[in-house]
Amino acid sequence: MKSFTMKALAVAVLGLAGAGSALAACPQIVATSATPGGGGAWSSQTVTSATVGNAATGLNGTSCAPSIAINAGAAANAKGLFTDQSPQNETSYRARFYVNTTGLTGLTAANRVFRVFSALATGQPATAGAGAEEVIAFIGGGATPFVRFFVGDTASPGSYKIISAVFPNTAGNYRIEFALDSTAGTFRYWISDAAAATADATPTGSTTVTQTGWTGVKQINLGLFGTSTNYRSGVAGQALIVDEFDSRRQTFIGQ
Amino acid sequence: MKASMKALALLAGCAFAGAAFAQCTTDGVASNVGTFPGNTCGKNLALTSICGGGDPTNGAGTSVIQVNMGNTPNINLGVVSSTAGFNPELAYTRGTCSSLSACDVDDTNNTQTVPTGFPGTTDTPTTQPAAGSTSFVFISDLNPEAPGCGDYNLTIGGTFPVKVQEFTVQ
Repeated sequence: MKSFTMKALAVAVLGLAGAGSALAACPQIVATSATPGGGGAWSSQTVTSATVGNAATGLNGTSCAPSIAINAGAAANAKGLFTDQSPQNETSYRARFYVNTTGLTGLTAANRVFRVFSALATGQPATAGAGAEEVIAFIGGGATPFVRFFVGDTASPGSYKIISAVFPNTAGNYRIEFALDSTAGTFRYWISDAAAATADATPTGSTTVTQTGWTGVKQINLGLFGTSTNYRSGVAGQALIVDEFDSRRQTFIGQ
Repeated sequence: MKASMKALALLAGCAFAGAAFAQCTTDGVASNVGTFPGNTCGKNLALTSICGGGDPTNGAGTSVIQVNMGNTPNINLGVVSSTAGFNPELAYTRGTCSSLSACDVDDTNNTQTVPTGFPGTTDTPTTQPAAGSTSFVFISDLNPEAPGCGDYNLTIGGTFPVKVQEFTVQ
């Protein structure tokens, strides 16, 4: 099987001026919808009623990263997201990315929630509804923010298994990784502080899923979208930073 | 190939409102003001999100109360959980009983009492229901906590006079 890897949001490009250069160039992330997107590394980016740009610093040691904020007064279709269309109906799919939520000071209640990631298939069981999302990752607020996965599972009511995990601390700099194996019927995930080491054998949690009818991951979106009403009223104008997206078929990603 | 990719992108756009939608079943019917006890555990598990699909539930259960309005309704709401580890979400929709219906109340606050200050303070729908209409109250939990469901007392206050079905003078 052909493997694929995308360091799509590690946007720092080092050494362009030759050996010994201390300069680091960051591709410009435009503020509007664009093809390609994310400064060129992504298939496209989509921006609706959101402010997208370069954060002052990147995550996981990179020099820069995209920042995304929903505009004040935005409607439910507000979004700023990056799209990767390189997956080929993947039945074994791993993804990892970093998020920084320190700017989201209004993320104080569980109904202030947004989608940070979704993986879409071209085919899904009719019971899954109108969407083609095979995996969704939400981030919500509260005393400690949390991640919630919706994973396609025809054995669950509504055809989605719901899995939640609080972030390990309130520092605001985190790494999220998951591994979906449709054939084996497993979903494993790692939720950690950005600096903490993780290992394939010790996920934060795991569960079984029945993926009958799902045709595999064909496209993923990463960013800030699918916001709740209370997110738009309480967290608008505050920037999320995402960075260091990586996806693979088989091997653990980690730091 | 190109066409299929475009179709996929369209689906992605449509899915933002809530990929997981479901019609719900009601746990009770209210036709007047009062306090209504209930329990959310294991209820309406297919209702994976509420309020236009924007609020993903924690999966432990969502109780739904149908409210039948009389003439000139003007209601307010409050809910108190009596289960530790169940900090409820209180939501109200004038739409159909579905994940995709927009909410006129959407409140949670990391405590067992919603809204903050209840009963002195109540949640009032942003738009009051129409006379003679049917609407729905959702009691759920959006927090990642254990058990994340439990017993509650829902209070429906205000006025929604019952509709006169028959009136005779003898």
